[in-house]
Amino acid sequence: MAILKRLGIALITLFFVTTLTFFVVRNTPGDALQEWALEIVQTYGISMEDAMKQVRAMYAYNPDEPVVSQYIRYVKGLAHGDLGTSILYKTSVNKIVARALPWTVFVLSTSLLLSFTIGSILGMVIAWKRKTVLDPIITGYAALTGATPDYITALILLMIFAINLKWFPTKGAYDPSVKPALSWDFIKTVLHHAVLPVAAYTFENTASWALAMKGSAVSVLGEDYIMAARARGLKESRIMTRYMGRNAMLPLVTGLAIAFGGMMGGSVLIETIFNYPGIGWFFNEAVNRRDYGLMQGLFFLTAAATIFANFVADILYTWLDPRIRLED
Amino acid sequence: MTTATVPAPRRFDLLYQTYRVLRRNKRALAGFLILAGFLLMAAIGPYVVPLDMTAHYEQRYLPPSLAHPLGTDYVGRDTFALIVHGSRDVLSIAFFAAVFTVGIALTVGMLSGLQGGMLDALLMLLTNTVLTIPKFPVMLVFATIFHVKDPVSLAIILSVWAWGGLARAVRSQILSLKEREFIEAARVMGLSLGHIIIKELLPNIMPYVAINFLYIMKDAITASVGLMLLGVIPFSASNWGMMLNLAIKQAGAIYIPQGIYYATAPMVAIILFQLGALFFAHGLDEVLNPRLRS
Amino acid sequence: MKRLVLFVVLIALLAVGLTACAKSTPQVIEKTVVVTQEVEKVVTKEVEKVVTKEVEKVVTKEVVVTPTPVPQPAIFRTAGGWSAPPAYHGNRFAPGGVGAAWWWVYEPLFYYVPANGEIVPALAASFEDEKDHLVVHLQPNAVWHDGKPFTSKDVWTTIYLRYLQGAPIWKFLDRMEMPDDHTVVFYWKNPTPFAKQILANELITSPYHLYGKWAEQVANSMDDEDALAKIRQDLANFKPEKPIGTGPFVLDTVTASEMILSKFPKHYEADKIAFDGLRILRWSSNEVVWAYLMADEIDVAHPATPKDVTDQILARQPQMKLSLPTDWAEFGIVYNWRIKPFSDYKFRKAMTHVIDRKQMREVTYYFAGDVDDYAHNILMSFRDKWLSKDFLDGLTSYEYNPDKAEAMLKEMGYKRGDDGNWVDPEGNPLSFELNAPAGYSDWVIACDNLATQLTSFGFPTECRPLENAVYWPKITTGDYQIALEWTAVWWGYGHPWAGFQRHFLGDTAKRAGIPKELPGPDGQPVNLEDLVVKMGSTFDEAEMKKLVQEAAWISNEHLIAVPYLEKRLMMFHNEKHVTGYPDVDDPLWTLGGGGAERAYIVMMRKGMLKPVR
Repeated sequence: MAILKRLGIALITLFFVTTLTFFVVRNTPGDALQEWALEIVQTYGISMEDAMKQVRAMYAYNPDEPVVSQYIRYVKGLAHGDLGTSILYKTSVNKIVARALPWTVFVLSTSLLLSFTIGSILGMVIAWKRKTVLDPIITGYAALTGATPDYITALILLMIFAINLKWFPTKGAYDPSVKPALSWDFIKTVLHHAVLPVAAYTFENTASWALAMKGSAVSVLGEDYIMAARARGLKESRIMTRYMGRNAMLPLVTGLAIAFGGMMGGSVLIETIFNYPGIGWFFNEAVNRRDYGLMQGLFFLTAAATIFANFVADILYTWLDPRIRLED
Repeated sequence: MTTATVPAPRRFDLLYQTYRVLRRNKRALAGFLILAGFLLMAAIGPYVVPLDMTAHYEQRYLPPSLAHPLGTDYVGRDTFALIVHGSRDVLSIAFFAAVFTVGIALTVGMLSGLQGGMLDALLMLLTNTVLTIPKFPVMLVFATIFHVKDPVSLAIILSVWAWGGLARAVRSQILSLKEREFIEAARVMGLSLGHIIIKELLPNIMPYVAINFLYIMKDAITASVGLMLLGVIPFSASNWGMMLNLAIKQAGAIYIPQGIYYATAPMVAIILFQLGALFFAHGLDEVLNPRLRS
Repeated sequence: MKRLVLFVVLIALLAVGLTACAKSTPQVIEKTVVVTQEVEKVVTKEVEKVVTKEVEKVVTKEVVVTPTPVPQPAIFRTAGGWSAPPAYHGNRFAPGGVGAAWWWVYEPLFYYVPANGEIVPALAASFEDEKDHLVVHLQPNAVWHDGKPFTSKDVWTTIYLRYLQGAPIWKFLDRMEMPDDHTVVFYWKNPTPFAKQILANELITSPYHLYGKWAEQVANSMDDEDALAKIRQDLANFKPEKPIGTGPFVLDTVTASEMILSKFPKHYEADKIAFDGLRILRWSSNEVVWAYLMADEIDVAHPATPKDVTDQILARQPQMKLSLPTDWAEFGIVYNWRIKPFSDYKFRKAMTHVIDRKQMREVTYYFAGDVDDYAHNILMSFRDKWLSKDFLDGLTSYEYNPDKAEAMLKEMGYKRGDDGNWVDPEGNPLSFELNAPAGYSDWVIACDNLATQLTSFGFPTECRPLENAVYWPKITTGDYQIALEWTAVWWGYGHPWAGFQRHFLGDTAKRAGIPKELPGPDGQPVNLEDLVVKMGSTFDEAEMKKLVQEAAWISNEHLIAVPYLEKRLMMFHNEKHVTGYPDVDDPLWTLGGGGAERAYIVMMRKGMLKPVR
């Protein structure tokens, strides 16, 4: 019952956010046409006048339809699972998402899970053993990855492993000579191309999970049941994971949920440096070109993903810590 | 006859505990010293170190020397002077953004967790909205309305976006903590809500909040670069985040052997600052949680 | 928990292990190597001592036996941009179409080399240029990629569809006639000296058998705006998977990171094209393209590159060359005439002496071309063709001279305040805000540099970049003080007329906020629109030059915009795998401005470029 209430609240939140987003997007300042025309003159060698006329002809946004009716049409579409239509490409946003999102989800969820898992374990270890040498190392590593923009880490990995050592490819999600199919060849090339992006992302983010876990675990350490477990003679590692870890996990689960939701925004880092396909490119295009239809659909996606992830996180709390009762 | 006297409760107990931890825990001391160093740099640095912003192209990417302790940047300006002059704005933005963010997050998270019910639902709606609303269009609107210069206003703008995740995390911890026996006990004993919050709940979530404080500071530095490129704040070539951005994108400093000093200087500054804060926080854990002291 | 962790780690290791077995791209043909070893014994004697030592030296000789290598396909590799799938398609009239394949799969009637007016025939085997009409004789053997023959109807279709986009040719075109399948006659209603440039910019992209029905509809409703809008919509919904052209290359595969093209064997100049295919890598950002150049992942690219990175690229790839043709525009500074003190043209003059424009170029775009001390709005690369030395000497010069600026300002009543900064004659301190588009990092740096220059002179100036889509409309409405702007913009025409069109009537005029008339060289007001229109319709060379000089004088005297560098396209080309590039100063390179690939396709079609074997 409480779960249903929570779901209801989540849906209301989503509706509220979607409405707000709709009006914010429509009121985004700026006119994308000039910039687009400037790009065209420098690639197609035509005059500015010609370019402006072309972009005006291509950008067929008709503001004559009253905003409210646009809004209603949009929400009706959402209820049917239709994310809307891109004004520029005149394609359904669903189609764009279906093609581009899987790559993003593949790389980012792998990296997220890896960095979360490794980071949490490290965090637990350094919280448990306060005097270990691992602590300053992890702290130093955290400070290093924190200060280095992920951009640089990715570039360095690209330079060393792809360009100099040639162990991994420099771009793309798979070798274009292999046709996408459920074949062993295809899977192999996909994994091969995914290693560097996943490595870059994981390398950048592991430390922050470790420190977050440490911070959370430290407060748990003072609890009586930890002392009691020790007195009972339970194995150290068991106390660390089962007792401390599980309780310390609580706030991190929130972070994980938010990160999963944020995944829908794509990763500019991975898509730029590793020339990897993904939804981030479309996000960027949509905003730069003020493609309202695409912007709305994509923003809805991230909002829905975040809200849903938070909903799941709320449920997970009760599983992780049975003392929590989700009152309504 | 011996009288067992209960020592009078010390005022500034927290400060005294901090002092004792610092004396014992070398790492916390190191962190404290580093932070103090940065504070000094921000406070008096700009008066001591002169900054010449004029371009001297032929003096670009010089290696460190007596005249230029950290070398020069892509147009021949002294990197060390840039770091020192940037420290004031960068550190104030970072610090205040973190303070405001943590303040809002703690308030929202605690209210939500403790009260529950309708207030919780409303506050979580607000939190989710802030978490999911697309930042870029809103920032663009901000840029047309607000033209700010001072770090505090900028910190406010940054913290408006940043508090959502922490608020949820705090709430989750409060939800767990409030069912504990010691809270029950405090309630039964009739201790005021204020006392429960400050003396019982806060110390428990502080280590987690402290780590987040640091990450918010680091994120604020990066975010300030984004705001510069939107026109919310004027361009500043001494902002560490912008220095890094310029080094990579415009100057391509990581491709040039001699560019290594310019590219790493702001990174090292940020790393040191974070290290100082992290080490100090490590000691802070012990202050707040006496059971951790060995 | 532990089990879960172990599981995840195992999966990760397995994934990495598997990928190590996957082949990396591109594939390498294996060579067989046979090694024979010879052992040599060498005995040395030491003279002074009695004891002799025997030293064994082993010498290994490797004999490599390679079978005759399988000829590798000759691939020309470059970088470019296009819309990621599924947004990609082959219809140039809708957003997301064609992308970087443009210059390779399509061709114009002929190519026009701006530097010397050379005509390189393409789909037009020959033509006769009469003033009021142009007769074009098409290639008899041209074929579309889908096998259908190329005829004059296809030219008609393309030009009529371009009517939907307001193409410049329609300003001059009265009608087209197709006497037979391989002849087209363009009849001009307003003869234009720019007929060849305009035609050279129109690539013939739309065959009748695919696009004919829309062209027919356009021909039937030339004046009906509503009908045209409908046709436009309808046409934009046509999304063929790939572009179909007549050009020497065919698009095979498009992914989000690469485009693969192969040679079109039926092309009428296929025998001259020495390459079997093309590979275009996605241009995600300049830093990545620099990495590609340094790593020999691509043969050519044209990223704007700082001096030191350029040195690195040239050092890492010793056979890399750099050609710097003009990119048909200059970067400049506009003052907002609507506000004080910029409304006073004497102040603008004084201000311009404060600016060290060479430094701006050096610091922001090293390989760009320097401008002179004037503001005449004639592209530097072609200045001497249009403006004589005597004429230039007669212009007001704006050389970098802060002392002169100081004197001029003092004369106007400006004073230095106690803090050293300038105060206007009414006693108000002066400070400025300078704007630049945030998306162009070199303009942002120019903004910072200029702000520093002005501040150190005594005008405290703040640099505030704005997002591009916000920037351009904002300065067009005059909501700024000083801004950076394109000047001497000759895109599409390669002629001063284009630059003055923009300067006096177009975007720059609106941004600076200039009036309709300005005093000319003789002191009399000149109607700027008339001047531009006259310039665009005269065929008399002497008359043209006179008009251009008059316009140049007005631009310079009134400081509509102050240029600080001439944009040059940095065309890196690596001679490691491809040879035959002309000398870096050859006029053919000027085809690159406004479309780098255009230069390379022309070089290929002339049979100049060949793979290194």
